[in-house]
Amino acid sequence: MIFELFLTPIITGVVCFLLKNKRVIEIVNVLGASVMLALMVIIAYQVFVFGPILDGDWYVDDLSAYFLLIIVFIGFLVSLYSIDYIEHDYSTGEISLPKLRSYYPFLHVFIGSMILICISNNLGIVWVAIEATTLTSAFLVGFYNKKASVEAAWKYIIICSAGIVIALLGTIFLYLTSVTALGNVPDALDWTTIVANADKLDPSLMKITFVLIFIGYGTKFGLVPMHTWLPDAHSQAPTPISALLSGVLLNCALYGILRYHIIAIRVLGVGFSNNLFLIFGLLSLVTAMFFILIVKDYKRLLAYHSIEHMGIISIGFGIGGPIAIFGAIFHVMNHSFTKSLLFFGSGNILQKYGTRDIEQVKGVGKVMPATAIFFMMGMFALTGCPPFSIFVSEITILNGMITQQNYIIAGVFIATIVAIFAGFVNHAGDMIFGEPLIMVRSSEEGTPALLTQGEEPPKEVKGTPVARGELSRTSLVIMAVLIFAIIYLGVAIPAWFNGMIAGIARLF
Amino acid sequence: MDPIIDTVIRGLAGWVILTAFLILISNSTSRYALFFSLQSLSLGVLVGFVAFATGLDHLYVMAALIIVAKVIIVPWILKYTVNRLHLAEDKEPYKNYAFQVIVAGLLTILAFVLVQPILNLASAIAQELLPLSFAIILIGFFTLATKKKANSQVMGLLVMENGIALAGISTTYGMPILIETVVLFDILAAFVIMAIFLYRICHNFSSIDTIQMNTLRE
Repeated sequence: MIFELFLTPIITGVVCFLLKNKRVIEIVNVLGASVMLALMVIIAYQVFVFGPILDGDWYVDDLSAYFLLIIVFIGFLVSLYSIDYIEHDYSTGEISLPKLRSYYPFLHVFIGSMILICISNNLGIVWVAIEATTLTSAFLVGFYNKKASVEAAWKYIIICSAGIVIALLGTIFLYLTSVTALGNVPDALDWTTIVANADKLDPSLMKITFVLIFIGYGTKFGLVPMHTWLPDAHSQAPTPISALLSGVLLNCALYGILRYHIIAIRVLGVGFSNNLFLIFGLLSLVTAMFFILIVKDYKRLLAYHSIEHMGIISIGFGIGGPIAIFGAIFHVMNHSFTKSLLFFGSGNILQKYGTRDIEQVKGVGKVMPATAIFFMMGMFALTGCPPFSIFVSEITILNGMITQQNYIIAGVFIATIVAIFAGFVNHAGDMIFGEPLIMVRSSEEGTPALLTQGEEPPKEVKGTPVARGELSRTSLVIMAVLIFAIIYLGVAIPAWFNGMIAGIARLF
Repeated sequence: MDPIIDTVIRGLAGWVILTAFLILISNSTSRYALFFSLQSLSLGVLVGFVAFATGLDHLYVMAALIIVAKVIIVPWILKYTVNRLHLAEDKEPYKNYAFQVIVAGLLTILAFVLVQPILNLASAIAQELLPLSFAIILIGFFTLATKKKANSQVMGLLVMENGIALAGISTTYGMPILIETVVLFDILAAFVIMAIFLYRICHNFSSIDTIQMNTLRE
C-alpha cells in the first residue's frame, strides 16, 4: 500500500510522458492525482487509527502520515490547477506544445520524489529522495527557459546541491555513529533501529551529525543565511509549481531535519538541536521581515513569507515543550494551505495582468472580484489575523514561549509579526483596493502601460485593456476549498485533529 | 594493516588533495576534466586498496563504480558539453592564483583543527584520512564559491563529493553498497542535469559566465 502511493505519481508521470494528445494527458494527470489521494486517505486512516506501519523498507508513522497528507492533498490541488494555468500559457503562445507535454511528467515525478522522502525508513534513501526533489524540480523552475528562469534554476540547483552534499556527509556520520554503537548490522541506517538504540549512540558524533544535517537540509528548508536561492526559484517557477515548492517541498526538508531532531533529542537530551532551530529560526524570521517590507514583486513577496513562516516553525520546534511543538506542527499545515492558496491567487493575477510588479497591479478587486477576495483573505491569514488557522498556531507557539518563560524571544516574535503585518497592508492595499486602472498591455514583450480611467491610451501603445472577468472557474473552486479549510481549522479544531497533532508532538 | 598498503593508501589520499588544489587553480575545461579524472582515479584505486586490506568485497564494486562514473563518464560529458557550446572564451576571469592557494592551504589547516574532537573516535585509517577529506570538501566549496564560470562551479561540487566519498571510505568503509550505488547514481544524474543547464545558460546569456546572471535581486 505504501509503495503503491509512491508508485502512483511515478507511473502517472511515465504515462504522461508517453502520451501525445494534450486532452488525454490532462485526464491522466487528474486520474493519477485522484488515485494518489484515495490511497493516501486509506494510509492515513490506518496509521492514525491502528498505529505506525512498518513494511520492509517503508515506514509510516504519525509524523510521516501528516506530512504525506499535506504533500498529497496540495499535490492533488496543484495538478487540478495546473490544467487551466498551463493551457493559458499555451494558448497565449508562452510555451509550445512539446513544452506543455513535458510539464506533467516532471510535476508527477516531483510529487513522487517528495512522497519517497516521507515513506523511507532508511535515512540514506531519505537523502537520495531529497536530492531527487532538487533534480526534478530544477527543470520546473527553469520551465520557461528565459534569462531570469534559467538564472533562478541555476542558483537553485547549485546552492541546494552544495547543501545536500553537506547533508550526505551528515548521513555518513550518522552511519558511523550507528555502526560504532551497533556493529555492522544491515539496518544501521534505519530510523526505527537508530531510535530504538538511541541510548547507545555516541553524543559527540551525534552532535556533528546533527549540525551537518541541519546545515544541509536547512539549505532546502530555506533558513537564512542559506536561503538565497528561494525567492528566485519560487518566483520564477510556473505558479502551480511555486505553490508546491513553497507549500510542500520546504516541509519535506523540515521532515528530514525532524527525523534527526528526534534522534538527537534521544541522544543529547533537549537543548543542543533545539538551540540550532531557535537561532536559525529567529535569524530567518527577522531577515525575512526586512525583505517583506521592501520587496517589489508579489511572487517574491510570497517567497519571503515562506522564509518567515519556516522561521516561525523552526522557533516552535526550538522552544520545545508540548505546547510549542503542537503549534509548530499545526503551523506546517496552516502555512502549506495558506501559501498554496495565495500562489493560486497570484497565478490568476499574473496571467491576467502579465506582470509580477506590485506597483503595476492595481484594482484587482474590480477586474477579478472573486480572486481578489480569496487573495485578500489569504493575505490576512498569512499575516496571522483571526479567524484563520495561522493565527491559532502562532498564538500556540507564543503560548509555548511564555510557558517556558522565553520572554525575549516572545517579544522579538511579536514585534516581527506586527511589522510584517504593516508591510502587508502597505503592499496588498494598493493591489486590491487601489484606484482602478486600465491596464494596457502590448502584445509584444515590454512593460505594460498604466492609465487612469478616462485617459486615452497613447498611440504608440498597441494592445487591449485587461478584460474584466475570472480566468478559470476551477481555480476559484480550489481556492474556496482552501479558504474553507483554513477558516474551519482556525475557528474550531476538531477533537480528532487535535488528538492527531498531539500524538505527533509526543514523538519529540 | 600491512605497512606497505598503508603507505600506498596515504600516498593516494595525498594525490586526491593535490588534485583538489590543481583544480582550484585551473582555468580551462580540458584541465578540469584531466585533473578530475586523476583525482577520481586516485580515489577509486584507494578504495580498491582498502578493499584488499580489509577483505570487504563490496568495496571492489564501489571502486569499479567510482572509476567508471567519475574517471570516464563525468569528464567525458563535461568536455563534450563545453565543446558543443562553442565558447569564444573558455577561461576563468578571476586569476589571483597565489591568493587562492594560500586560502586553500589555510582551509586545509582549518580542516585538521576541525576534526580534532572526533579523531579519537575513529579508526587508525580514519585518523589519517578524515582531516584530508574535510580539507578536500572545504577546498571544493571554496572553488564553488569563488569561480565565476558555471562549469567551474560544477567542478567545485564534484570535488566536494569526492571529499565526502573519501570521508565515507575512511570512517565506515562506505555505507551499505545499495545506498552507495543509488547515491552515486543520484550524483551522476545531478551532473547530467547541470550539463543540460550549461546549454540553457549559454543559449540565454551567450556565455557561461555567472557574473551576467544578476537580474534577480531586490
